[in-house]
Parts: sequence; structure tokens; C-alpha cells
Amino acid sequence: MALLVQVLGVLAAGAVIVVLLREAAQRPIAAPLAAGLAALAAVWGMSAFGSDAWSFARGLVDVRGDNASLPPEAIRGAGGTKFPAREDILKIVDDRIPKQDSVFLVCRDPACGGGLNVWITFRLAPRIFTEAPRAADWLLLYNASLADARLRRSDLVDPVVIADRYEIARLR
Amino acid sequence: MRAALGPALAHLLLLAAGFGVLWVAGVLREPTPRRMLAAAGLAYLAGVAVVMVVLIALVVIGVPLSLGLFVAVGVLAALPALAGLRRRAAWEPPRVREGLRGLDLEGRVVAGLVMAMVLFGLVGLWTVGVLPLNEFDAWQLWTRKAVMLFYEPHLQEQLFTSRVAYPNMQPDYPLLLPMLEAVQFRAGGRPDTQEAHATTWILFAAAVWALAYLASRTSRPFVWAGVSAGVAALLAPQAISGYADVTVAAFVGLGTLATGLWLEGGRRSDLALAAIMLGGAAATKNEGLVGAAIVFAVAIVAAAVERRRADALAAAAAGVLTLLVAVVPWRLWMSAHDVTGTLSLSDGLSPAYLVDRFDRVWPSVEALTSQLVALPAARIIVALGIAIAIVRLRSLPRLAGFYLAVAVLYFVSLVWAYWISPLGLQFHIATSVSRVVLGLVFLAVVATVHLGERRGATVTGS
Repeated sequence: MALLVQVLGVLAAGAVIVVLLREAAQRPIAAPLAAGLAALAAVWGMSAFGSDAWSFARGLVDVRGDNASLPPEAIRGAGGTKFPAREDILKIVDDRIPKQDSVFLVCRDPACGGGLNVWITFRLAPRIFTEAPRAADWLLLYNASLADARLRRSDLVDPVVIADRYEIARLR
Repeated sequence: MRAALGPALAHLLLLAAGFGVLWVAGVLREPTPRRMLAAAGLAYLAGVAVVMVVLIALVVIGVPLSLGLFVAVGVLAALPALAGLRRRAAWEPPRVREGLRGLDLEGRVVAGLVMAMVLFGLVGLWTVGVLPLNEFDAWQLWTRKAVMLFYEPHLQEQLFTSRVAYPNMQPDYPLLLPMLEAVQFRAGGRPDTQEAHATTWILFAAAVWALAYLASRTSRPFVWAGVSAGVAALLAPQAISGYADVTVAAFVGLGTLATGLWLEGGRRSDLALAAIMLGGAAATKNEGLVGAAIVFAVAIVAAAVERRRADALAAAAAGVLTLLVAVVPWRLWMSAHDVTGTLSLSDGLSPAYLVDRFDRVWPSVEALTSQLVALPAARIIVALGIAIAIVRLRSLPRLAGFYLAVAVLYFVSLVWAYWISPLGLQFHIATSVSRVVLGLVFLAVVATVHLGERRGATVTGS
């Protein structure tokens, strides 16, 4: 409804402009009306550019210095801050698991129901994540226990406990 | 050094490739420095569309992606431009001082506005490349695939098929943007995810530039510059998100404008340009594929209604060719690897399914229309575009009807997508409506610059 009102309002405004300019008497109304509306669009554009572009660009310039000086871990973990992801853990996992290996992720963190699991698979790309442990080279326990993974300790090779409930290991 | 120079050289190669594409298409047959500068935005988009579509097709058939492959395809596409550069006029320096001195008041205002837009684009380029990538869909849908294509020369099937390990990744989305980001990463020698913002910003800046260039063929300087400035200011916040929505909206809008120019003037070069832009749209997002199909279908009908059989056949041929090159390779790969999307076409055409979910239609219509008046990017331009098309229905029936039909069908296609989506309606609308309406905004913009104030004498017939 609001869009309809806008269209009618624009048409009425254009018609008023044409009548005021006395163009309607000399020429068919469509061309000058369309021209008037296009001119209105151009004025809209210039006004929008004048009011929005400056403040937008200034905002970008203001934050550039802060962004340019961010440490690498803040840049790498930027997308995970909203969950929040444990970048300290993921950094260690990233360093330990070869990039060409596949990983089976077990996450019992409450945030894994809201996208944290998705972030972990992106953060550790290009490693391929599998749906089952038997298809993976590695197991990653993220805020989870081995029981959550339905695996036994004997299934693991050289497990590395990074923190309590955070662990990686090669799978037999 | 490579991290900074490599991506810049990759984008310059895409620009050169685009000039070659425009030369082959007949859009820029007699290049001069001034014309090339004016057409640079369009050339960049054409280069991106053609080179990325070719790379996607090659990767799909098993050719390993590499920087060398990108350079080979880019140079091959750029070669035809050399034919144009053999002309002496191509090397004559532009007479900037004389040109500026001869400007009237309108020309001076426009020159100032263009300078301000260039400055705006450069400030954006300087700043957005260091923004951390924290937008969910940006890394989840687009940069994830780009990072994979940086490390792996082939498409990783598990990434696209495992709904457990990779939920909500929209595996059916086409690969133009991930491929472009991957090429940029490969050129820089590292997967710098911050640069994803620079990619979409460059595409956005090129789109505004291309809009101004194409619009300058039909509208007076005050109109094409003013409207382009409005688009630049109001779409910029979305352009730095790392999402593909501004890109696909621009491809659809520019493809529609080129088709409108072809319907009006009958130049085959405009139809070729439309095919390139709409191919880019179809290779970027599913909305782009639907948009391209709508534009070609309406163009065919518009030509057929006036018994212009040759034109209808030309539009049909362009549509089929676009589909074959830009869509079929990716869809074949999807089919061969059992990759499916969120939306099911068979469900979407099933009367029982549609009736069962009919209660989703009106809320979708309301959400879309309210965005068109509330969204900062839309503001009043959509109302102006509709009003101008209505006003022109009698004096330019073919063109006005074409723009109105494309816009209405595109709107209906968005409603249909919400209607058949398996996602919860409120969630789906809340997370997408402000982005998907950008296509409608761009359609309103191109209708405004094509149907509004006409360059030279007033046009009274179609």
C-alpha cells in the first residue's frame, strides 16, 4: 500500500510540475512528465549521494586504521566472535592437522546448534569434514567428550588434549 | 609484494579481457582512450562474466584450476581488443583540458559529480580490503567455496553433498563469485579473506560505472550522473558485505537495460551485451538465473507480439546460448554428483504443494513491498521507475511494457521463492528480503534512465 501511495504521489507531483511549467498545453503530456520524473530521480540521486556517501566513506576511513592493525588471529577468527568460537583452540587445531586431511567434528557446545559448527568447518578449511568417523583421518572434540563421539580411546592415535573437552587425535 | 600486486594484476587482466569481449560483441569497435575509459566499468563486468563462466565450465569438466589457466583464459579473451588498438585513434591522448573548458553548467555539475564518485570508489577500495570477514553468509556461502578453490584445483564433492558436515551452505548456488575470489587469492598467493570485501566493492563500482555508461546513451548527463550517484550512495553499504546480492542485481539490471536498448534500436551488439550480463547474473545466484530467463522470455514475447520474427528468434537464440554456457555446465556437475538446493522445482510446480502453503503468499508480498519503500537502498527510486514506465506506456509501449513486465515477473518470482521455500517464512524473510529486493531496485533504476528524460529530441514513438 505504501508503494502504491508513493507511485501515485510521484505521478501527481510530476503532473503538477508539468502543469506549472505550462508544457502540457504545447506537447503531449507523457514526454515532459517522464522527463520531469527522471529529473526528480536525478535530484534524488544527487541528494542521496551528498547526504549518505560522505558519511559512509568517512566511517570507512575512520575504522581503516583499526582494521589494518588487527592481529592475524583476530582477522582469522572474525567470523567466529559472534558464537563465540574459541580461536585459541582452533589456532592450535589449524597448526596441528594437515590441510589435506579430513576431520570428524564432534561439538556439544550449545552454540553448535546456532552456527558454531559451521564456523569451525570454515575456519579449518580446506580440510574436508566428514559425516562419520570412519571416513575421517582426524577426530576433533570441541567442547565434547569421547563418549559423545561414540568412540573408544583405543580408536585414537596420539591424542592431543588441548584443554578440558577439547581434543584432537588421528583415527585408526 | 605479491599479496598486494597479484590481485591488482588479476583485476586488470579481467578488465583487458572485458575490452576484448566488448570488441567481439561489437559494443566497442572503435576504441579511443576516452571511450575506453567511459566503458571500463562495463568492460570489467563483461570480463568477469565471460572469464569466470569459462573457468567454471573448465573446472566442471575436470580441468584443474590454476593461476596459469586464469591467465590463459584472460589473455585469450583480451586478444581481440588488440585489433581495435591497432587504430591510431586508440592512442590519441584525450583532450581533457579542452573538453572541460567547453562544458556548460550541466556539464560542469556532472563532471564534479563524476569526480566525487571516482573519489568515493577509491576511498572504498582503500578501506574495505582490510575489513575482517565476519558476515555470516559471506564466509558461509561464498568465501568458503573460494578458499576451497584456492587450495584445491578441483571441486570437492563432499563440500557440496554433505548436509550434516556443511549444513545450510546453499550448495546449488552458482560459482561466479567464489571463482572470482579464488582467482584473486591465487593471484595474491594466499587466501586473504578480508579481500572478499574488495571483490564485491570492485564489482559494485564497476556496476555503477557501467550503468552511467549505458544510461548516457539514452538520457541527458544530469539524469545518468544523478541516478548513478544515487545508486552508488545507497547500495554501498550492501556492497561491502561480501555478499553476491548487489552483483547479481547489477548484472540483471544492466542485462535488462541492454535488452531494452536492443528492443529499441535493434543493434545486435546490444543483444550480445545483454546475453553477457545476464549470463553473469545466472552464474552468480539463482535469482540471477530466474531474472535472465524472465528478461529473455519477455523480450521474445515483445518481439513476437509485433511480428518481428527474426528478432524473436534472435532473442531466443541468445537466451538458449546464455543458458548453455553460463548455467548448464554447473547444473550438469550438480546432477552428476547429486547436489540439490533448498528449493525444489518439482515442489514449486506442484498444485497440491502450492495450495498447501498458500498462506505464505500474502506475507511475502507485504514483506517485499514494505522493503521497497522502507529500505534505504530503495527509497523513492522504485516508485519513480514504476511511475515513469506507466507514463510511457502510450508513447513507448514496447519499451515501457518490457520494463514493467520484467519487474512484475521478477517480483512474482521472489514471492514464488518464499512460497515454496521449506524454511520458516519469518526466518527466511528476515534474513533475505532486504537483499533480494535489490534486483527490483536496479530494474527501477534502468527503467528510469531509459524511459525518462531522453537525450536529444523528445521521443514520441517506439
